[in-house]
Amino acid sequence: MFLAKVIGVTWSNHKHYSYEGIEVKIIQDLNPESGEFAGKPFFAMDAVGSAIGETVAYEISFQAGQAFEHATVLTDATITAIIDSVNIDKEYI
Amino acid sequence: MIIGRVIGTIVSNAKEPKYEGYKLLVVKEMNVYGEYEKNFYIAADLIGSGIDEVVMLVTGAAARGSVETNEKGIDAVITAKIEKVFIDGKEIIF
Repeated sequence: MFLAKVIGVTWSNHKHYSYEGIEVKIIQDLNPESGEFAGKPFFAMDAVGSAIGETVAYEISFQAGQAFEHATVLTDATITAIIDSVNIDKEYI
Repeated sequence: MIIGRVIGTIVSNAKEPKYEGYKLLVVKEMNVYGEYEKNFYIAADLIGSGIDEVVMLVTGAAARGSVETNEKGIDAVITAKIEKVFIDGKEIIF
C-alpha cells in the first residue's frame, strides 16, 4: 500500500457495471517523511468514502479489485484507508 | 488508473481468438488536467466508447480483474467515460 492525498473528484455517467455506487477520486502520492507530493496525480476507486484533502492509503494492481466486499471491481488503484496520523521515528529521517 | 482520449480504432483479422467480440481502440494518454502525455495504448472497450471521448483505462495485471477479461491476456481496458473533473478548486470539462 502507498500513502496519498485526495486532490480531486470526477463525474462519469457511463461506467463499467462493477463501478455501481463507487466514486472515482483523483489522488497523488505523498512522501511520508517530508509530507510533500510526489509523482503525478492519477485516478483511484474509493472504497472508504474519502473527501478532498484527506490523507489516504491505496492499493495498486490486481489486489486493488479485491478491496471491495460485494464484488470484484475492475480497477488498478483503490483507496482502502483514511489515515489520521503518521508517526515516523526521528532516528530514521 | 489513467485517462486518455480515444483517437482511433484498430482492425485486425488475425488475432488472438480470445480477443473476439472486443473493440480495440487507440487511446492517447492525458494527465488529470487534460494535457496530452506521450504514451498511446491499444485498449479493449467494455463500455462502448467512441472516438474523441475521454475514457478511463485500467492497465496492467488488474485489467484481468473482471469476468469478461479474466484469462484473456488483455492489459488495457476502457472502464469509464469521464465527463468532468474537479481538481485544485476548479472544474475541468473534457
